[in-house]
Amino acid sequence: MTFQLHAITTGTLELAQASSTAAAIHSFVDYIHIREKQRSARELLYWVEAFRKAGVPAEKIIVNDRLDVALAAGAGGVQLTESSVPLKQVRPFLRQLAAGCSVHEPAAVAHANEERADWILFGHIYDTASKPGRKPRGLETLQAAAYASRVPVIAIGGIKPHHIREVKAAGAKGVAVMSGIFASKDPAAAAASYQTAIKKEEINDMHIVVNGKSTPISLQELTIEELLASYSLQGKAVIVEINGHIVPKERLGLTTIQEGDRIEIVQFVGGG
Amino acid sequence: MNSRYSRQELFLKEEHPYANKHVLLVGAGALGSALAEMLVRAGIGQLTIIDRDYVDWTNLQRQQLYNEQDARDSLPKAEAAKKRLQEINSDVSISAITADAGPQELSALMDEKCPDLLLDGTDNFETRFIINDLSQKYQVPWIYGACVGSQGVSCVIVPGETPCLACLLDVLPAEGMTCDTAGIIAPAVQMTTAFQGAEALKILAGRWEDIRRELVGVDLWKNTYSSISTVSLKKADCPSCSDTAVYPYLTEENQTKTAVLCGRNTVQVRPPNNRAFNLPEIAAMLKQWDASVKMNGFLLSAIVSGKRIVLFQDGRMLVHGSKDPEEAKKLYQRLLG
Ligand SMILES: [Zn+2]
Repeated sequence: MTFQLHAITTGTLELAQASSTAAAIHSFVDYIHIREKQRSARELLYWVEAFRKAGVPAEKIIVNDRLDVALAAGAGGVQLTESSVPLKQVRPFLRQLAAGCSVHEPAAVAHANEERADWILFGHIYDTASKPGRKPRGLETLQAAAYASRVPVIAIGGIKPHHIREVKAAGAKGVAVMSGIFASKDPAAAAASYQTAIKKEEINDMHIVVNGKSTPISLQELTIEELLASYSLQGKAVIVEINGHIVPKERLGLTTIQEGDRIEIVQFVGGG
Repeated sequence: MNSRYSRQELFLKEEHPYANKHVLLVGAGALGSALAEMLVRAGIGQLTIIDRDYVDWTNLQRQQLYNEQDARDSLPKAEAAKKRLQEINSDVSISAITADAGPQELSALMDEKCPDLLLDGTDNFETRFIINDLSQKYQVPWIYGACVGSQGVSCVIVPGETPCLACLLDVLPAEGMTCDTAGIIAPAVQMTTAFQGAEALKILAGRWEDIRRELVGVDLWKNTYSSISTVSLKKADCPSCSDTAVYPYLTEENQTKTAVLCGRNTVQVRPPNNRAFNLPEIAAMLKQWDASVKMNGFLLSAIVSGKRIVLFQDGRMLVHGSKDPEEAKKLYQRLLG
């Protein structure tokens, strides 16, 4: 599963601006949450419809709290908060909708797992303008939550693109961003920068199978020759096979390695 | 079924297919020791072992046929191996030859009685390429095996069917990694000979359909296993196995040759053609300057110019404590002209 990026509306924009922002960012994110606590169910319904009209794919739209709106408007899912109707009770009515749970205490993570949430929004991790004066949970608590959860834990709260590495290292399977995207002067550029940061971390996460063993590689455009060099085998008497095909000697420096490649290297040694 | 080979026959579902088979084993070091013991226990009819070296204390850690007395006596490996192997199975006919396995020596052995299989127990690529050419010329399969450190590699080469070593390796690899520089652990030897030995038993039982048609490599320390199908690597213009083969490694050069021995900090000097020496005469000559001269019926050892030298009956000399072929050649010429 890839690392998720959720964008969340801030509750401060009018519909026209919010829907044009959603249209501009949707290609960079996995989900857009409509979190407009002050608005009525009827207004939220218009929001979902406006987002869909603006070109946001329905399955990317998540309605905060209101399953009825999500169902009626054909959204992709619902985000249940700690004051929503519990997931256990709404499950019979969910149909194909995704359901995320918002959790603020590591102790509540187990409960969201029992209820088989599709993801858990956990935070806030860093200091954030939306929760002034409340102490952030920090990475250690995030790690405890992620460790305790089979359900993907999505970190939320004050997350900037440069935080993605440490948040991912703590075990989060995604990040959710509010003002960092929807309150940005250039939301598309902001969403793109989060996406870029995530991709960079996923490249660092690339694995290939060398001689039957899963091996992390951290370089883009790595050639077989460079891989051989990393094993001190450059220029040595070796035969290399990639995904079942032998790589001719003159192509070792031209053949690049992709995620998941299966590589076999046999070195001719002399001893005996 | 309680005969000597009953467990093997139970597996093979065939009565002793090895009784009339003959294997020529080149090298009686670590690989050679293990291979020889497997074949002799399996009850092979005839085993010919050729090796150029003698038993040294550094061999005992992994060369399973030898003991402390063999090292104390500096017994030639072929002789020490034969002694131990006949204790294991007296029914096997074993010939021990202490000589450098050059093209001439090996060709003579092939002509004398062509074996059913050539087995690689050598420690260098030069000899392996000679074996490879002989295998093609005489149409006898051979099994490449080599090990260093915790790695082992093996490949079966069947003339007319699989690519040959020259197809797989277009140049003689530099002996970068040897037991000398990287060391070796005994399990790497055993793993390599397990692959070679299994293929030998298949070939000698005529089970061609079961033969491994892959180059296989294992690293017992890094816990990796790899295998590559080599079929596509057969070269139409290979100098060793194509229709226009010239067997380049069988061309004997008529000059003194030297070789740095794997794992020994030793250079071997080999005179052109077989120059027979009278060892007792040379011993008497050397004793005038050096009291440490020793003989054991197969070889002579002495200390000359601060270097320990060992001289074999076939005229070869080992110069210990040196990796410089030129220095060794000079010493040889100074002593023996
Ligand atoms: Zn060939």
